[in-house]
Amino acid sequence: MKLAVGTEKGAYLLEQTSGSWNVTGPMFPGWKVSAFGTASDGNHLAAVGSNWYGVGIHRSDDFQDWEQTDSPPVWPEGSERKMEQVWTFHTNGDRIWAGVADAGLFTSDDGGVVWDSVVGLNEHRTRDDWGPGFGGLCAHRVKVDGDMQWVAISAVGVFRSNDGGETWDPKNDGVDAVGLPEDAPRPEVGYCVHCVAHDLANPMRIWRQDHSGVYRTENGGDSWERIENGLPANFGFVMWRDDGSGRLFTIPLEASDNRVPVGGALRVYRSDDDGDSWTVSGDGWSTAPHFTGVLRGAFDGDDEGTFSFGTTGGKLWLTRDHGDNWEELAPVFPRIGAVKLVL
Amino acid sequence: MTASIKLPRMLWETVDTESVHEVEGATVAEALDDLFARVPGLRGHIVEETGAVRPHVSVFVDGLQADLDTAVGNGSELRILHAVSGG
Repeated sequence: MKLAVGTEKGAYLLEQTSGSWNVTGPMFPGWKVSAFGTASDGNHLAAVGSNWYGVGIHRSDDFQDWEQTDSPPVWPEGSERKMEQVWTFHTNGDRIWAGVADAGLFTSDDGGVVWDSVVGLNEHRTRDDWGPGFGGLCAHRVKVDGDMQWVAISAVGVFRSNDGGETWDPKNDGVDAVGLPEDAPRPEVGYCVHCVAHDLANPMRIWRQDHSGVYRTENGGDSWERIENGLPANFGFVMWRDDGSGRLFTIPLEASDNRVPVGGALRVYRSDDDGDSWTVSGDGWSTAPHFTGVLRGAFDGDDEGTFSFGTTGGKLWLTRDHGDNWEELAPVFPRIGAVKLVL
Repeated sequence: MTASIKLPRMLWETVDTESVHEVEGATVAEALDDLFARVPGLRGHIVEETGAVRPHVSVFVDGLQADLDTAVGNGSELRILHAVSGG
Protein backbone atom coordinates (compact mmCIF):
# COMPACT_ATOMS: atom_id res chain seq x y z
CA MET A 1 0.00 0.00 0.00
CA LYS A 2 1.11 3.53 -0.76
CA LEU A 3 -0.10 6.76 0.78
CA ALA A 4 0.04 10.09 -1.04
CA VAL A 5 0.15 13.25 1.03
CA GLY A 6 -0.61 16.73 -0.26
CA THR A 7 0.82 19.52 1.86
CA GLU A 8 1.38 23.25 1.91
CA LYS A 9 4.86 22.53 0.52
CA GLY A 10 4.59 19.83 -2.08
CA ALA A 11 3.40 16.23 -2.24
CA TYR A 12 4.97 13.11 -0.82
CA LEU A 13 4.50 9.41 -1.45
CA LEU A 14 4.89 6.90 1.37
CA GLU A 15 5.47 3.20 0.85
CA GLN A 16 5.92 0.69 3.63
CA THR A 17 8.77 -1.76 3.24
CA SER A 18 10.01 -4.06 5.99
CA GLY A 19 8.00 -2.19 8.58
CA SER A 20 9.33 1.29 7.91
CA TRP A 21 7.94 3.98 5.68
CA ASN A 22 10.00 5.16 2.74
CA VAL A 23 9.17 8.69 1.68
CA THR A 24 9.51 9.99 -1.88
CA GLY A 25 9.32 13.72 -2.49
CA PRO A 26 8.67 16.49 -2.41
CA MET A 27 6.86 16.45 -5.70
CA PHE A 28 5.79 19.93 -6.91
CA PRO A 29 8.28 21.70 -4.59
CA GLY A 30 7.02 25.08 -3.50
CA TRP A 31 3.43 24.38 -4.51
CA LYS A 32 0.49 23.64 -2.27
CA VAL A 33 -0.99 20.28 -3.28
CA SER A 34 -4.70 20.50 -2.56
CA ALA A 35 -6.32 17.39 -4.04
CA PHE A 36 -5.66 14.01 -5.62
CA GLY A 37 -7.87 12.05 -7.97
CA THR A 38 -7.92 9.15 -10.37
CA ALA A 39 -9.18 9.22 -13.93
CA SER A 40 -11.06 6.31 -15.44
CA ASP A 41 -8.00 5.49 -17.58
CA GLY A 42 -6.04 4.88 -14.40
CA ASN A 43 -4.03 8.09 -14.53
CA HIS A 44 -3.56 9.90 -11.25
CA LEU A 45 -4.48 13.57 -10.88
CA ALA A 46 -2.94 16.15 -8.59
CA ALA A 47 -4.18 19.70 -8.10
CA VAL A 48 -1.57 22.26 -7.16
CA GLY A 49 -1.87 25.90 -6.25
CA SER A 50 0.19 28.88 -5.30
CA ASN A 51 -0.59 32.29 -3.88
CA TRP A 52 1.52 33.69 -6.71
CA TYR A 53 0.82 31.46 -9.68
CA GLY A 54 -2.74 30.16 -9.33
CA VAL A 55 -3.74 26.56 -9.94
CA GLY A 56 -2.57 23.70 -12.11
CA ILE A 57 -3.62 20.12 -12.72
CA HIS A 58 -1.04 17.39 -13.28
CA ARG A 59 -1.43 13.83 -14.54
CA SER A 60 0.74 10.79 -13.93
CA ASP A 61 0.52 7.07 -14.61
CA ASP A 62 2.93 6.15 -11.82
CA PHE A 63 2.59 8.90 -9.19
CA GLN A 64 6.23 9.82 -9.79
CA ASP A 65 6.50 11.57 -13.15
CA TRP A 66 3.88 14.26 -13.61
CA GLU A 67 2.79 16.32 -16.58
CA GLN A 68 0.83 19.54 -16.22
CA THR A 69 -2.25 19.85 -18.40
CA ASP A 70 -2.49 23.00 -20.51
CA SER A 71 -5.97 24.04 -19.40
CA PRO A 72 -7.07 23.57 -15.80
CA PRO A 73 -10.57 24.75 -14.82
CA VAL A 74 -10.80 28.49 -15.41
CA TRP A 75 -13.48 31.08 -15.05
CA PRO A 76 -14.31 32.85 -18.33
CA GLU A 77 -11.88 35.53 -19.49
CA GLY A 78 -12.89 38.84 -17.95
CA SER A 79 -14.62 37.19 -14.99
CA GLU A 80 -14.27 38.78 -11.56
CA ARG A 81 -14.15 35.29 -10.03
CA LYS A 82 -10.72 33.93 -9.19
CA MET A 83 -9.66 30.33 -9.66
CA GLU A 84 -8.04 30.03 -6.25
CA GLN A 85 -7.86 26.30 -5.63
CA VAL A 86 -9.09 22.91 -6.82
CA TRP A 87 -10.55 21.35 -3.69
CA THR A 88 -11.66 17.95 -4.85
CA PHE A 89 -11.88 15.47 -7.71
CA HIS A 90 -14.70 12.97 -8.06
CA THR A 91 -14.68 10.34 -10.80
CA ASN A 92 -17.80 8.53 -11.98
CA GLY A 93 -17.42 6.47 -15.14
CA ASP A 94 -15.48 8.48 -17.70
CA ARG A 95 -16.44 11.83 -16.17
CA ILE A 96 -14.41 13.70 -13.57
CA TRP A 97 -15.86 16.50 -11.47
CA ALA A 98 -13.62 19.16 -9.98
CA GLY A 99 -14.89 21.29 -7.10
CA VAL A 100 -13.11 24.62 -6.95
CA ALA A 101 -12.83 28.00 -5.22
CA ASP A 102 -14.28 30.56 -6.01
CA ALA A 103 -17.02 28.04 -5.58
CA GLY A 104 -17.98 26.11 -8.65
CA LEU A 105 -18.02 22.78 -10.44
CA PHE A 106 -16.25 21.74 -13.61
CA THR A 107 -16.31 18.44 -15.49
CA SER A 108 -13.85 16.68 -17.72
CA ASP A 109 -14.65 13.81 -20.08
CA ASP A 110 -11.09 13.29 -21.31
CA GLY A 111 -9.30 12.31 -18.14
CA GLY A 112 -8.73 15.78 -16.72
CA VAL A 113 -7.23 17.56 -19.71
CA VAL A 114 -10.13 19.81 -20.77
CA TRP A 115 -12.69 21.16 -18.28
CA ASP A 116 -16.20 22.52 -18.80
CA SER A 117 -18.18 24.69 -16.42
CA VAL A 118 -21.31 23.17 -14.81
CA VAL A 119 -23.35 26.22 -15.70
CA GLY A 120 -26.52 25.21 -13.87
CA LEU A 121 -24.65 25.38 -10.57
CA ASN A 122 -21.99 27.98 -11.33
CA GLU A 123 -24.57 30.52 -12.50
CA HIS A 124 -27.22 29.49 -9.98
CA ARG A 125 -29.92 32.06 -9.25
CA THR A 126 -28.63 32.31 -5.66
CA ARG A 127 -24.99 32.86 -6.71
CA ASP A 128 -24.92 36.51 -5.68
CA ASP A 129 -25.83 35.45 -2.14
CA TRP A 130 -22.93 32.99 -1.78
CA GLY A 131 -20.41 34.27 0.72
CA PRO A 132 -17.06 32.82 1.76
CA GLY A 133 -16.33 31.22 5.12
CA PHE A 134 -12.96 31.12 6.83
CA GLY A 135 -11.83 28.46 4.36
CA GLY A 136 -12.97 30.51 1.40
CA LEU A 137 -15.86 29.98 -0.96
CA CYS A 138 -15.24 26.46 -2.13
CA ALA A 139 -17.02 23.44 -3.59
CA HIS A 140 -15.31 20.63 -1.73
CA ARG A 141 -17.40 17.48 -2.09
CA VAL A 142 -19.19 15.93 -5.06
CA LYS A 143 -21.30 12.77 -5.09
CA VAL A 144 -22.94 11.19 -8.11
CA ASP A 145 -25.58 8.47 -8.36
CA GLY A 146 -26.88 8.32 -11.90
CA ASP A 147 -28.72 11.53 -12.68
CA MET A 148 -28.74 12.50 -9.01
CA GLN A 149 -25.78 14.59 -7.96
CA TRP A 150 -24.83 16.45 -4.82
CA VAL A 151 -22.28 19.16 -4.21
CA ALA A 152 -21.21 20.57 -0.83
CA ILE A 153 -20.16 24.22 -0.82
CA SER A 154 -18.69 26.06 2.15
CA ALA A 155 -20.28 28.36 3.41
CA VAL A 156 -23.31 27.98 1.17
CA GLY A 157 -24.71 24.49 1.72
CA VAL A 158 -25.57 21.26 -0.05
CA PHE A 159 -27.15 21.42 -3.50
CA ARG A 160 -28.78 18.49 -5.33
CA SER A 161 -29.43 17.93 -8.99
CA ASN A 162 -32.02 15.41 -10.15
CA ASP A 163 -31.27 15.83 -13.85
CA GLY A 164 -27.62 15.07 -14.34
CA GLY A 165 -26.35 18.49 -13.29
CA GLU A 166 -28.56 20.70 -15.45
CA THR A 167 -30.46 22.26 -12.53
CA TRP A 168 -29.70 22.40 -8.81
CA ASP A 169 -31.63 23.08 -5.61
CA PRO A 170 -30.33 23.90 -2.12
CA LYS A 171 -30.98 21.00 0.29
CA ASN A 172 -30.38 22.18 3.84
CA ASP A 173 -33.69 22.00 5.72
CA GLY A 174 -33.04 21.16 9.36
CA VAL A 175 -29.48 22.49 9.36
CA ASP A 176 -28.72 25.57 11.45
CA ALA A 177 -27.37 28.55 9.55
CA VAL A 178 -24.15 29.86 11.08
CA GLY A 179 -24.30 33.29 12.65
CA LEU A 180 -28.07 33.72 12.67
CA PRO A 181 -30.38 33.85 15.71
CA GLU A 182 -32.64 30.82 16.10
CA ASP A 183 -35.74 32.90 15.40
CA ALA A 184 -34.34 34.56 12.26
CA PRO A 185 -35.95 33.66 8.92
CA ARG A 186 -34.15 30.72 7.34
CA PRO A 187 -32.07 31.83 4.35
CA GLU A 188 -32.02 29.75 1.18
CA VAL A 189 -28.20 29.55 1.27
CA GLY A 190 -25.59 30.22 3.95
CA TYR A 191 -25.13 26.75 5.48
CA CYS A 192 -21.52 25.92 6.19
CA VAL A 193 -21.20 22.28 5.24
CA HIS A 194 -17.73 20.92 6.02
CA CYS A 195 -18.00 17.36 4.71
CA VAL A 196 -20.51 14.75 3.56
CA ALA A 197 -20.46 10.96 3.21
CA HIS A 198 -22.90 8.76 1.35
CA ASP A 199 -24.26 5.27 1.92
CA LEU A 200 -23.27 3.65 -1.37
CA ALA A 201 -26.12 1.15 -1.08
CA ASN A 202 -28.62 3.93 -0.42
CA PRO A 203 -27.33 7.25 -1.78
CA MET A 204 -30.34 9.08 -0.37
CA ARG A 205 -28.78 8.53 3.05
CA ILE A 206 -26.06 11.09 3.66
CA TRP A 207 -24.09 12.04 6.76
CA ARG A 208 -22.89 15.61 7.17
CA GLN A 209 -20.25 17.25 9.30
CA ASP A 210 -21.33 20.86 9.29
CA HIS A 211 -19.99 23.98 10.95
CA SER A 212 -23.11 23.89 13.11
CA GLY A 213 -23.09 20.19 13.98
CA VAL A 214 -23.40 16.63 12.74
CA TYR A 215 -26.45 15.65 10.70
CA ARG A 216 -28.02 12.82 8.72
CA THR A 217 -30.59 12.76 5.95
CA GLU A 218 -32.57 9.75 4.77
CA ASN A 219 -34.11 11.50 1.79
CA GLY A 220 -31.23 12.88 -0.23
CA GLY A 221 -31.06 16.14 1.68
CA ASP A 222 -34.74 17.11 1.72
CA SER A 223 -34.51 17.17 5.53
CA TRP A 224 -31.67 16.75 8.01
CA GLU A 225 -31.60 15.67 11.68
CA ARG A 226 -28.87 16.09 14.26
CA ILE A 227 -26.90 12.96 15.27
CA GLU A 228 -24.40 13.99 17.96
CA ASN A 229 -24.99 11.46 20.77
CA GLY A 230 -21.61 10.62 22.32
CA LEU A 231 -19.48 13.21 20.54
CA PRO A 232 -17.29 15.48 22.72
CA ALA A 233 -17.89 18.35 20.27
CA ASN A 234 -19.99 18.79 17.17
CA PHE A 235 -17.44 20.79 15.13
CA GLY A 236 -15.00 19.27 12.67
CA PHE A 237 -14.22 18.65 9.03
CA VAL A 238 -14.31 14.87 8.57
CA MET A 239 -17.10 12.48 7.70
CA TRP A 240 -16.26 9.09 6.25
CA ARG A 241 -18.23 5.88 5.80
CA ASP A 242 -16.30 2.63 5.71
CA ASP A 243 -18.47 0.77 3.21
CA GLY A 244 -17.02 -2.59 4.18
CA SER A 245 -18.12 -2.42 7.80
CA GLY A 246 -20.76 0.30 7.57
CA ARG A 247 -18.89 2.30 10.20
CA LEU A 248 -18.90 6.07 10.20
CA PHE A 249 -15.85 8.08 11.20
CA THR A 250 -15.61 11.71 12.27
CA ILE A 251 -12.89 13.66 14.08
CA PRO A 252 -14.35 16.22 16.51
CA LEU A 253 -12.63 19.54 17.13
CA GLU A 254 -13.56 21.72 20.07
CA ALA A 255 -15.31 24.59 18.30
CA SER A 256 -15.17 27.03 15.43
CA ASP A 257 -13.12 29.45 17.52
CA ASN A 258 -10.77 26.73 18.84
CA ARG A 259 -10.16 24.20 16.09
CA VAL A 260 -8.20 21.57 18.00
CA PRO A 261 -9.24 18.30 19.65
CA VAL A 262 -11.00 18.75 23.00
CA GLY A 263 -8.29 18.79 25.66
CA GLY A 264 -5.69 17.88 23.04
CA ALA A 265 -7.05 14.32 22.84
CA LEU A 266 -6.90 13.57 19.11
CA ARG A 267 -9.38 10.76 18.50
CA VAL A 268 -11.47 9.42 15.66
CA TYR A 269 -15.03 8.79 16.76
CA ARG A 270 -17.00 6.04 15.09
CA SER A 271 -20.59 4.97 14.86
CA ASP A 272 -21.82 1.42 14.29
CA ASP A 273 -25.47 2.43 14.19
CA ASP A 274 -25.53 4.86 11.27
CA GLY A 275 -24.88 7.86 13.46
CA ASP A 276 -27.36 7.27 16.27
CA SER A 277 -24.43 7.09 18.72
CA TRP A 278 -20.68 7.68 18.67
CA THR A 279 -17.73 6.26 20.62
CA VAL A 280 -13.95 6.57 20.44
CA SER A 281 -12.69 4.39 17.61
CA GLY A 282 -10.47 1.61 18.87
CA ASP A 283 -7.02 1.78 20.44
CA GLY A 284 -3.59 3.15 19.69
CA TRP A 285 -4.19 6.80 20.45
CA SER A 286 -1.37 8.80 21.94
CA THR A 287 -1.67 9.95 25.53
CA ALA A 288 0.47 12.98 24.65
CA PRO A 289 -1.45 16.17 23.87
CA HIS A 290 -2.15 16.63 20.17
CA PHE A 291 -3.36 20.19 19.62
CA THR A 292 -3.70 19.82 15.89
CA GLY A 293 -6.50 19.85 13.37
CA VAL A 294 -7.68 17.61 10.54
CA LEU A 295 -8.86 19.29 7.34
CA ARG A 296 -11.69 18.22 5.07
CA GLY A 297 -9.51 16.82 2.30
CA ALA A 298 -6.94 15.21 4.54
CA PHE A 299 -8.31 11.68 4.73
CA ASP A 300 -9.01 8.72 2.53
CA GLY A 301 -10.07 5.12 2.93
CA ASP A 302 -11.23 2.03 1.14
CA ASP A 303 -13.94 -0.56 1.80
CA GLU A 304 -11.49 -3.09 3.20
CA GLY A 305 -10.81 -1.38 6.51
CA THR A 306 -7.98 0.99 5.63
CA PHE A 307 -8.44 4.62 6.58
CA SER A 308 -5.79 7.30 6.94
CA PHE A 309 -5.88 10.94 7.92
CA GLY A 310 -3.31 13.72 8.10
CA THR A 311 -3.13 16.61 10.52
CA THR A 312 -2.35 20.29 10.28
CA GLY A 313 0.72 19.38 12.36
CA GLY A 314 1.97 17.20 9.52
CA LYS A 315 1.44 13.72 11.00
CA LEU A 316 -0.37 10.76 9.46
CA TRP A 317 -2.55 8.25 11.27
CA LEU A 318 -3.61 4.88 9.86
CA THR A 319 -5.97 2.01 10.61
CA ARG A 320 -6.11 -1.22 8.63
CA ASP A 321 -8.90 -2.94 10.54
CA HIS A 322 -11.91 -0.64 10.18
CA GLY A 323 -10.80 1.57 13.05
CA ASP A 324 -10.12 -1.02 15.77
CA ASN A 325 -6.42 -0.14 15.95
CA TRP A 326 -4.60 3.05 15.00
CA GLU A 327 -0.97 3.95 14.47
CA GLU A 328 0.73 7.32 14.16
CA LEU A 329 3.28 7.16 11.37
CA ALA A 330 6.76 8.47 12.06
CA PRO A 331 7.37 10.88 9.15
CA VAL A 332 6.53 14.55 9.70
CA PHE A 333 5.31 16.72 6.84
CA PRO A 334 4.19 20.31 6.34
CA ARG A 335 0.51 21.07 7.04
CA ILE A 336 -1.47 18.28 5.36
CA GLY A 337 -4.46 19.15 3.19
CA ALA A 338 -4.90 16.02 1.07
CA VAL A 339 -4.45 12.29 1.59
CA LYS A 340 -4.99 9.49 -0.90
CA LEU A 341 -4.58 5.74 -0.76
CA VAL A 342 -2.70 4.81 -3.92
CA LEU A 343 -3.55 1.34 -5.20
CA MET B 1 11.10 42.60 -31.79
CA THR B 2 12.81 39.50 -30.49
CA ALA B 3 13.27 39.36 -26.74
CA SER B 4 13.87 36.74 -24.07
CA ILE B 5 11.73 35.87 -21.06
CA LYS B 6 13.31 34.22 -18.03
CA LEU B 7 10.96 32.23 -15.82
CA PRO B 8 11.27 31.47 -12.10
CA ARG B 9 12.03 27.88 -11.16
CA MET B 10 8.54 27.34 -9.72
CA LEU B 11 7.11 27.87 -13.18
CA TRP B 12 9.52 26.27 -15.60
CA GLU B 13 9.95 23.24 -13.39
CA THR B 14 6.26 22.53 -12.80
CA VAL B 15 5.27 23.25 -16.41
CA ASP B 16 8.29 21.24 -17.57
CA THR B 17 9.66 23.77 -20.00
CA GLU B 18 12.87 25.74 -20.51
CA SER B 19 13.80 28.49 -18.07
CA VAL B 20 14.38 31.02 -20.87
CA HIS B 21 12.24 31.50 -23.98
CA GLU B 22 12.78 33.60 -27.07
CA VAL B 23 9.60 35.53 -27.90
CA GLU B 24 8.32 38.11 -30.38
CA GLY B 25 6.47 41.27 -29.41
CA ALA B 26 6.67 45.04 -29.21
CA THR B 27 5.12 45.25 -25.72
CA VAL B 28 5.07 43.11 -22.61
CA ALA B 29 1.51 42.02 -23.45
CA GLU B 30 2.55 40.89 -26.94
CA ALA B 31 5.62 39.13 -25.62
CA LEU B 32 3.53 37.27 -23.03
CA ASP B 33 0.93 36.32 -25.62
CA ASP B 34 3.70 34.85 -27.77
CA LEU B 35 5.03 32.97 -24.75
CA PHE B 36 1.55 31.58 -24.00
CA ALA B 37 1.16 30.48 -27.61
CA ARG B 38 4.40 28.52 -27.29
CA VAL B 39 3.70 27.19 -23.77
CA PRO B 40 -0.08 27.28 -23.14
CA GLY B 41 0.26 25.92 -19.62
CA LEU B 42 1.92 29.13 -18.45
CA ARG B 43 -0.99 31.49 -19.14
CA GLY B 44 -3.07 30.84 -16.03
CA HIS B 45 0.00 31.02 -13.82
CA ILE B 46 1.01 34.51 -14.97
CA VAL B 47 -2.25 36.32 -15.78
CA GLU B 48 -5.65 36.32 -14.11
CA GLU B 49 -9.07 35.75 -15.64
CA THR B 50 -9.26 39.53 -16.11
CA GLY B 51 -6.15 39.45 -18.28
CA ALA B 52 -4.09 41.39 -15.73
CA VAL B 53 -0.78 40.07 -14.44
CA ARG B 54 -1.37 38.20 -11.15
CA PRO B 55 -1.30 40.50 -8.10
CA HIS B 56 1.86 39.14 -6.52
CA VAL B 57 3.74 38.65 -9.79
CA SER B 58 5.81 41.29 -11.56
CA VAL B 59 7.32 41.54 -15.02
CA PHE B 60 10.66 43.31 -15.37
CA VAL B 61 12.07 44.59 -18.70
CA ASP B 62 15.81 45.13 -18.76
CA GLY B 63 15.85 45.42 -14.96
CA LEU B 64 12.91 47.81 -14.59
CA GLN B 65 9.46 46.90 -13.32
CA ALA B 66 7.03 46.99 -16.21
CA ASP B 67 3.33 46.73 -17.02
CA LEU B 68 1.55 45.15 -19.95
CA ASP B 69 1.93 48.30 -22.07
CA THR B 70 5.66 48.69 -21.51
CA ALA B 71 7.64 48.66 -24.75
CA VAL B 72 9.97 45.75 -25.46
CA GLY B 73 13.08 46.39 -27.53
CA ASN B 74 15.02 44.08 -29.77
CA GLY B 75 17.15 41.95 -27.46
CA SER B 76 15.31 43.02 -24.30
CA GLU B 77 15.46 40.68 -21.34
CA LEU B 78 12.15 40.08 -19.54
CA ARG B 79 11.96 38.39 -16.16
CA ILE B 80 8.94 37.02 -14.30
CA LEU B 81 9.31 37.37 -10.54
CA HIS B 82 6.99 36.80 -7.59
CA ALA B 83 6.77 38.67 -4.32
CA VAL B 84 8.82 37.50 -1.38
CA SER B 85 6.25 36.17 1.07
CA GLY B 86 4.97 33.06 2.76
CA GLY B 87 5.89 30.90 5.72
